[in-house]
Amino acid sequence: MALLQTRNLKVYYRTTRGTVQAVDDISFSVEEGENLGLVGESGCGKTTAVKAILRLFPVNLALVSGAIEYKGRDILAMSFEELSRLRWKEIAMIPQSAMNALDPVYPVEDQILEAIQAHETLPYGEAISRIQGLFDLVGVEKSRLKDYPHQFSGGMLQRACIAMALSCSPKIILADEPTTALDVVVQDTILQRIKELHRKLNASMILSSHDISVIAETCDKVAVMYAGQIVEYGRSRTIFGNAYHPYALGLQQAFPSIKGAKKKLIAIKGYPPNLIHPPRGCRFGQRCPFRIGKCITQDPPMIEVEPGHFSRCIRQDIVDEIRKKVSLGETWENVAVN
Amino acid sequence: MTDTKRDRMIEVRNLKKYFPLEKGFFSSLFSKGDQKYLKAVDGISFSIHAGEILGLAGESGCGKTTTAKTLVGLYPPTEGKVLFGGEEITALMVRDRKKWARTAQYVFQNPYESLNPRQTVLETVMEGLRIHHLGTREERGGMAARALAHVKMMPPEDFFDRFPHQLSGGQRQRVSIARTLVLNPKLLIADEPVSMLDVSIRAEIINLLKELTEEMNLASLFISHDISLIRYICDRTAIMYLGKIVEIGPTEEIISDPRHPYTQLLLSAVPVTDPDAGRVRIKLQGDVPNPIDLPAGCRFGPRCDRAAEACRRQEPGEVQVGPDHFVLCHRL
Repeated sequence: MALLQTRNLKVYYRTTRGTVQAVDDISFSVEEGENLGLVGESGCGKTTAVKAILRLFPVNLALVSGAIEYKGRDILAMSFEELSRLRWKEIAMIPQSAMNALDPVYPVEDQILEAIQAHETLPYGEAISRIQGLFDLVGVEKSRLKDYPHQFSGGMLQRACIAMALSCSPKIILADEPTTALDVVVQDTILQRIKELHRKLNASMILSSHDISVIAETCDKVAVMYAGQIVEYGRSRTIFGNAYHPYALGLQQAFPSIKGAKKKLIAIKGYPPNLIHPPRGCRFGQRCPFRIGKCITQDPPMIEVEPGHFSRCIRQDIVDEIRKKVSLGETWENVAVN
Repeated sequence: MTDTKRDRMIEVRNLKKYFPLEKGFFSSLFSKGDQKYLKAVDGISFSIHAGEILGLAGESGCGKTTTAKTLVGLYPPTEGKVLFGGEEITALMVRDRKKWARTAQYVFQNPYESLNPRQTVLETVMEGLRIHHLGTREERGGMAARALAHVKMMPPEDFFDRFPHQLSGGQRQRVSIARTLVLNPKLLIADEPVSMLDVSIRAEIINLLKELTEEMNLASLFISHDISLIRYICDRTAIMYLGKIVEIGPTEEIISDPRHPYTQLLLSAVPVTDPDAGRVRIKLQGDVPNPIDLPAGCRFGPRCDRAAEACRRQEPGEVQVGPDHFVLCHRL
């Protein structure tokens, strides 16, 4: 049994203009010790999906349905007491922007202490020595514990947030764009650190990012998201070697690389659909160079293209042709986007 | 740093920009200490040719944006010279900023903030023409239409009456570029122009900047922290660290054969999309030093694994390692 599994999860928001289908029918699972990456562009539902796991919803929540099972128990059906025991002890989160995640008027140490004491009964001395150990682990000097957040650099704040997420030895770490605001050198050290910790503590991780190279280097399994849905899901080796979905393939061609031959970058014309009134059929259909009539009229199902590997595209019959054509600029330029 | 190629459109020699630090009230009463400076840009030299894109890479706080803002005259330089088409224009840049602004145009990072939300696309693009008294009222519409067509917003008339909130991020950034092109600039500075855009549409803007530079024979400065992007678009690349250009040369040469330890470190930290790549990483010591109290000798010295006695004593000079490739390092 998977450690964490979402089944047909839907999260909708209410806005003045209508209901936004932010996450629409997504299913994924994470085994013990496994790293899952959620990759997609802004507004595709990554953050909503990650936060839903801890049942962190905004006040304008309109609908949440499906199931999120942790060790077989549905998080969405838990009582608040049960949920509180689960949060941080079992599942902890590294928030998107560490710069704003910490309270500016308390020393960093006090804030981590608060997180520990909210979830465990531990004598003060033991808690402090645990925090010192955590700072060692994430590579921040212990002498900085009494500092205030503004005295930390961006990378140190992010590391402090990681220390805080690890403070109660959770089984699953949710990392929502943990390195987006950071410089490449700092990002690299943080990702190295996260990977080391992951190996050492054997915790599972769900990492969301818009940067496909970060996901490629960190995760065993990947879910590519587009407009609130997962369009491709499977082993990262397959997705980054031989993807099946035109969007997953296109995204990789839009990403410049520092290695290998220099190729022309493609741009996927148009923009993601409005999630208040998503179009019928495939959500990527409007921008897809390989669409046929059926794509626009029928919702594509998730198709198992290889054992354990899924793609939400009905054109699997011509996947070889798609793979051949995605790297050509003309393929994408000639799409008539309305 | 000098180079040997064709006609230089813009040349920067030993440019410095220091910001004086304000003292607190009490320390200004009781201490006589010297005025301290933040040395944001500390003696850099480079040139850009017509039709060429120079990339400027480095971590945040290394002085990339200060360099760019000094070049367009938004900050008066502390020291150094700027030459345009061989003529010195350092003083003019600041004194007659309006005139210089016609020649040197700036594309800002965030198209969600840099466009006036109350102006239509047409008003935005025509504003520069109005300020510089170019063309008659009727002619300006035509010039704006041509600029919009240039950035592939077709047909331009369809976009005239739209407001920024009715445009996608990519379209907004194209409007930002169109409003610079309408003035026929010679120097185009793009400061992280795609970092706010989604990956799938970045290529539109990047390819556009590349085409425009060639077509209009612009000298372009492309600032980015993303070296993969720089590799894709720039002919030459300068790597900055704490206010200095530590390495400058042809982009492919810098990426395939980086000579400065900092360049090597920066390149080794770039993630790649291959799960099996197994990158070799260079271990890094410490954090970026404070630009107010710079270390003696080489600025990268305290973090460098190759640092020797000389590196702590003396600032390294420029060493030529290729026909057009220069490095600031004692230990090559």
